[in-house]
Amino acid sequence: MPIVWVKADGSLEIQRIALTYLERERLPGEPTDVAVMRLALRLQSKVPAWVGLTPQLVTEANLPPDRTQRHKWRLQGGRVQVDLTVPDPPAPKKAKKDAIDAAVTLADLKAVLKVII
Amino acid sequence: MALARIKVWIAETLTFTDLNTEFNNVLDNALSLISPLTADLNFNGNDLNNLSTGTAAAPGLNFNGDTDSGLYVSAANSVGVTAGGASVVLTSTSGMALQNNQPVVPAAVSGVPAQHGLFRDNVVKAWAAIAVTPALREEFNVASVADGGAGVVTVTWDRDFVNSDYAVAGTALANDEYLSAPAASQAAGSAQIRIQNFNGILADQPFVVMAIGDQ
Repeated sequence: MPIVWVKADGSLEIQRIALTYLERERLPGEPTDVAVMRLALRLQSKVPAWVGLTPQLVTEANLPPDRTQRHKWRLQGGRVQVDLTVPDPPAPKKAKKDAIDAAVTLADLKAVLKVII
Repeated sequence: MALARIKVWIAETLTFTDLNTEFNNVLDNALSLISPLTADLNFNGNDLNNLSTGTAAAPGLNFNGDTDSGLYVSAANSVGVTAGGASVVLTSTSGMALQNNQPVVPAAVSGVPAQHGLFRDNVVKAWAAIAVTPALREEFNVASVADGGAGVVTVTWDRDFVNSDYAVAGTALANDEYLSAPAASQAAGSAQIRIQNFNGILADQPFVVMAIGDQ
């Protein structure tokens, strides 16, 4: 059962408890959702980025099946949904490609290449 | 019964009854001549044979005041070490096997490490095989994994390291991806793993990872 940590910028970390850890630490008769939440809170202090956040449980069915827009996942109404208003991150090499495209002379291109290498 | 004199002899007539009584007393209580010992027993280089095989709960060779700890024979050619009535180690012609989920806890290294030596400093403390989801496929000492976005996975350790100064290594299970070392997000209880391709783009890939350091 996934645990959602909502970071300050709205982006999400989706945590899954290891099955062996869950079964070892589960209290007698403890329901899975209760155990998972208890363990998530126990593990919270291990990850500095989670300190101060509030974990929330979701079901696997409430996660988008497609990860191609993983950066747009947001928690909305207890479900993780793709928020199309979230901008795409800049392409990692766009600035370099733009510099190459902007080069007019061989000297310009050499200058760009020297920066790239 | 302790062996003791039956009769204090004086100047008198020796009767067969008295003789029989004295000899019977010695024969019937011969064991008490040596058991329990009242001083160290020197075997003078001789063997001690035919001990009871014993059990883990009552080992054939045990020690003063602790009858459920010692050595026993679990089966032919298999000698066990037991502590508190539970088997700890079994040795046989197949090797040595620790029992009842007991770990080997090696000592910390001191000086130049012994050749091929196993020390707590060089034991892998955690490892995992992680699928794209990300989800754990196999693991040791991992409490959870967290999906932080494409190519970003936070692994939390079950038993923490003493601090963030430990080594994490691994590889992505794809030809054009590699596993970068965790950066600022490495902590005593967790490590953030980043999988990126040679163009520096983070990407979801299955990967394996292990961690070595002081706990």
